[in-house]
Amino acid sequence: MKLKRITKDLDYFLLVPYAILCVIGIIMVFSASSNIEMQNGGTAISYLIKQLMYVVVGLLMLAGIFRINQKQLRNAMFISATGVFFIILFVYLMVFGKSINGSAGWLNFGGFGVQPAEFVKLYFILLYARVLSRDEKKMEVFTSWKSFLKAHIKTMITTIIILVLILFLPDLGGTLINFTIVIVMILASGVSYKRSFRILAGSLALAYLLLYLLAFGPLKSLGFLKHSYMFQRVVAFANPFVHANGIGQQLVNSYYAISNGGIFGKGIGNSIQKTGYLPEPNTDFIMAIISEELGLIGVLIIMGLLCFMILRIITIGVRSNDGYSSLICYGTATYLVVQTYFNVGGVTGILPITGVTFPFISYGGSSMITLCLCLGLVLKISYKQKIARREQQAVKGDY
Amino acid sequence: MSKKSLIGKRTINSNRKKYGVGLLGLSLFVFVVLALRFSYIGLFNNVSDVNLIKKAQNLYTQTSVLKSKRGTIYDANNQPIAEDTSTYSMYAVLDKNQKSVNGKPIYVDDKKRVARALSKILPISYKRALKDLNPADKNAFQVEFGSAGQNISLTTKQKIDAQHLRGINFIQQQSRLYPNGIFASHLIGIASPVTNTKTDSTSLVGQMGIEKAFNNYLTGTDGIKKVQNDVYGYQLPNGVKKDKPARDGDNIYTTIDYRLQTLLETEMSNVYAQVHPSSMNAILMNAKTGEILAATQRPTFNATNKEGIGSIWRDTLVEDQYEPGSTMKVFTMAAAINSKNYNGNAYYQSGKYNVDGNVVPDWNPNGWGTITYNKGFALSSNVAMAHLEQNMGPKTWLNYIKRFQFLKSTNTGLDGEQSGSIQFNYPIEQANTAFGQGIQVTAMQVMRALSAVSNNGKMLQPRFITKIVNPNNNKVVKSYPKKVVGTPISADTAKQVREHMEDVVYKPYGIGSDYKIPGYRIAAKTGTAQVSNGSGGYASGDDSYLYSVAGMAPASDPKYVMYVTMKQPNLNGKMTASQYLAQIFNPVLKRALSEDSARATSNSNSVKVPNLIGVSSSTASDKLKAAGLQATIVGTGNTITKQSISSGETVFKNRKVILLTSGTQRMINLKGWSESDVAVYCQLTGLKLSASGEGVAATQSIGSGTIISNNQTLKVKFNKN
Repeated sequence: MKLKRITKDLDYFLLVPYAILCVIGIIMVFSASSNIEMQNGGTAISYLIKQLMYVVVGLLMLAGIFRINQKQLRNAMFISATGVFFIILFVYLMVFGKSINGSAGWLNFGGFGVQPAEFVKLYFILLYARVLSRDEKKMEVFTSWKSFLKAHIKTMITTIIILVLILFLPDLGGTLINFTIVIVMILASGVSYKRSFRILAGSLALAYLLLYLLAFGPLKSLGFLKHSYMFQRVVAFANPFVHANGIGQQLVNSYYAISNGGIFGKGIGNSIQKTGYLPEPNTDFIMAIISEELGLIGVLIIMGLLCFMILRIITIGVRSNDGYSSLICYGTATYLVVQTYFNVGGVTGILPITGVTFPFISYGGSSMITLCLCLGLVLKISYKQKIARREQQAVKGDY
Repeated sequence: MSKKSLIGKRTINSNRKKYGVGLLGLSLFVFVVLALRFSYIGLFNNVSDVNLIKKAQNLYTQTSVLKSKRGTIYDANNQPIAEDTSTYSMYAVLDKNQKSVNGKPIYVDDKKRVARALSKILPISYKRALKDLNPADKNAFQVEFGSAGQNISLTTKQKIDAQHLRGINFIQQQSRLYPNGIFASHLIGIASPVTNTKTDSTSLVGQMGIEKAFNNYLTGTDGIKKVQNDVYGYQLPNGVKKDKPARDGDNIYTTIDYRLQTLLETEMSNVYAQVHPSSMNAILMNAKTGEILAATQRPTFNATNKEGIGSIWRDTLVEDQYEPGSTMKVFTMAAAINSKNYNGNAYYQSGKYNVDGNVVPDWNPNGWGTITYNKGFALSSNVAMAHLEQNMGPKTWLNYIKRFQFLKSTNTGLDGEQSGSIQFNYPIEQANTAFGQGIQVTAMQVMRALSAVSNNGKMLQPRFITKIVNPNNNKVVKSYPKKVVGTPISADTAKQVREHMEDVVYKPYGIGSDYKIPGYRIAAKTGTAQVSNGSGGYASGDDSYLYSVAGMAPASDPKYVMYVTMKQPNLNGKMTASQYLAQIFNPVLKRALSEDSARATSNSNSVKVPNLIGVSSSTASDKLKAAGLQATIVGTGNTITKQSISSGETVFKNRKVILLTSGTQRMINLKGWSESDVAVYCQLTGLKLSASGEGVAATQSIGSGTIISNNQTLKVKFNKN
């Protein structure tokens, strides 16, 4: 593959928004970190340099995964080994893990915190793309859900073990994102789309009903749940202003940040909320700080770019006639949508806060690298599609 | 069957594509929802009816209230009678986690040292302090020290501060200082801290007297300092700043003369302690200006320590109405003379007089035979007054009552001032008013009416405030100059009335001989009124009377008017009510007159008193000597803390100036001292004076050189040499 040919067939509809988001991310991480030394330690410059590094490493990873023979990623042994590796890793983390922000899901490599739960997302995308795409040749799998389950029993068990381990790290956000990716991908296995939509709609409705009951309905006084950290977040979500000095502090201050920003924002560097009022201004709540500094306009541009990328990724998946590629695209898109939904949902108070980062913008290496790896896979698919299409056209042109 | 499988009618590939399209729609939907939510918050700044802008501003804004000072109330010599001060309450932090930024403990780490230091400065024993520092609750964050740790003065706090006790902290409190003890307490009133539940801020609010009536002037406006800070207290670079300085309350300058007031209080307390009347009033007024120089009432309270404050909250001088009795005869005479209905040399039958079938009796029912009206007045004959009233006719008499402005409030500005009332329907009621029964007046109304007699017909507004000054710009907000409120009688009438009042004191048959003051000509009228029992009748029994004396001096051209009432005393037979009243009336009026003559003497013989406060005692002594004054230094300290005569005052040469220094007070030899000098000495040192005799000090109950303490009683016998 000559570099010139590669650049010609690269999907710039993906690359350009990605690049813009990363640049905005670097700038905003720097701005949002200006006061963080007081809270978490580390200077704004150190956060800037690290984020820059993560972007560069992410880009290298993206290029790397683009260049390698991706057949390796479908290797059964590789996938299984990765699954086992993750299970061992999470068990280890639960026992010895270093706790950051109440979650034990961190590994420390020479000053860099690594969050393995992020990489699990890629693992599940690869796992389900492989497993489900193989089903196309085995129609008996689709006889009934029973047979479907039976065919994938090993995968399911592995999935459940890993999800439960992540849940008990504890990392509710990570668990839910991974779970959603898995569900959306299973429903993309080729089963009747109407059935899929019914199930998807049903699950969403059920999830919302459960959340509603927990927050406002009869379930809110469930004794055994009351003191769990997850339930506290639901309480804070339901009545943030009542708990403005306690568990509701994050959401309330996020509201203030968004409100401060208004339409045009207070200007870059001028956030008040980042000066200590809003915790995690450069990770989980970076969108609130962006809203304060760049205003609604800035937020909508960022969300628009990301939305465009996601729609582009799904389109690539729809266009692909290769099941594996389609599933990779759907998985990646779901990953991005759910991650965005959980992050912005938490920031704007339509979901309880789950401690999830915003794709490409929030400070953090693990998330950035995982995203870049996923994007690399999609870029490769897009690239192949382009070549295939050109070849097709060339054939047509011969007529 | 396989067609009816999970895949349905379509192929896997087509299902997946359709599913992808759905996913596309769902993703778009999610983003639209999020964008809308963001826009909603950003545009409307409102979530579940909470105004986010307002809330956020409140969060950033550190509002600190700048406390304003309540205005000071001054006496006539600009000495504070009531002023703001800060007291402190102390607490000790015990929690061992309390450490400063550099790790040093800011809790009590050496309890024994702290207890020892506190026991030396505060009225608390070492044991008690140590016990307070070791509370039963081992986890107590902080402790207080009971009453010993409350209301600590600034000087005491500074002493404690100088000990550098770790863990000892203070909370500042605003309080009102009344340094003079019993000192026109009801007239000045009190202000106490009141917490506004809305703002949760505490400020001083007047509860009584001038403090209450002029609360709006005295109260300042608190300032606000608003700064926008980040969570660590650093000011935000573009934060809103708002400063509004505190505006202190206005100062009130009263007409109260410190020395006359103190003397009046001493004498009143003295009499009050002897006969326990149900109430007493006393007012000394400048006859030419209407300025109240001294005024008080009994029972009263000590404004410094609030002792006795529960007994009565009224300013009885303006709020209590009573039948004045025979002092009213001054005005009956004035009215009769002024309306040309008086022939002093005419005779009438004293003893009893029948008015419409009702008997008007004299206090001596047997009477004194047929006597002249002039003598009848001096004898305080009711019958004479009933005749005068009838000669004038009720219409004329009522007109004069109105011209003297009885039945009309004195409008001094105090709360709850009464305007009085009268029963005037039947001839007997009309006759009764002529000798002060059946008419209700206030003491202040009597003062106002008396001023017409003392000030040659021109009746003066009694006033105890000269001006109200805004301390922020030194502008006079309100001033109360001399004000003539009417001319009920002519100057000639006034003069004649005063002559008749002199007869009361100086004629052999006059019943006011107790009020003679050597060296001065006094005009006075006594009064003995039956006290109404409140249901139309009169109280019975020996002590059911209100005794009073109204006087002015010097009689020919009065400078001072004095009026003292004493209601229902428990007379024990030792002395008459008149003699008790004289114990108040005579010394106060005498002091006023003597100081006045001192002021009036020619300049060559008088000097100005220099300021000696803060000066070393030897320098002060030299300075006084140079000015031609006598210095008496009291106390063992090196610097002067008080001087008996304020700087700037003009006094006779050779006048004794008593200088107080700090340090232990030892009794000095008072032999040969004048009564007033002894009184001043006692005021300065805090001794209670119990004087007997007249003249100069001969013996003293505390030997010179003895260490004296506050509130100790000193008995001094005076001899005429």
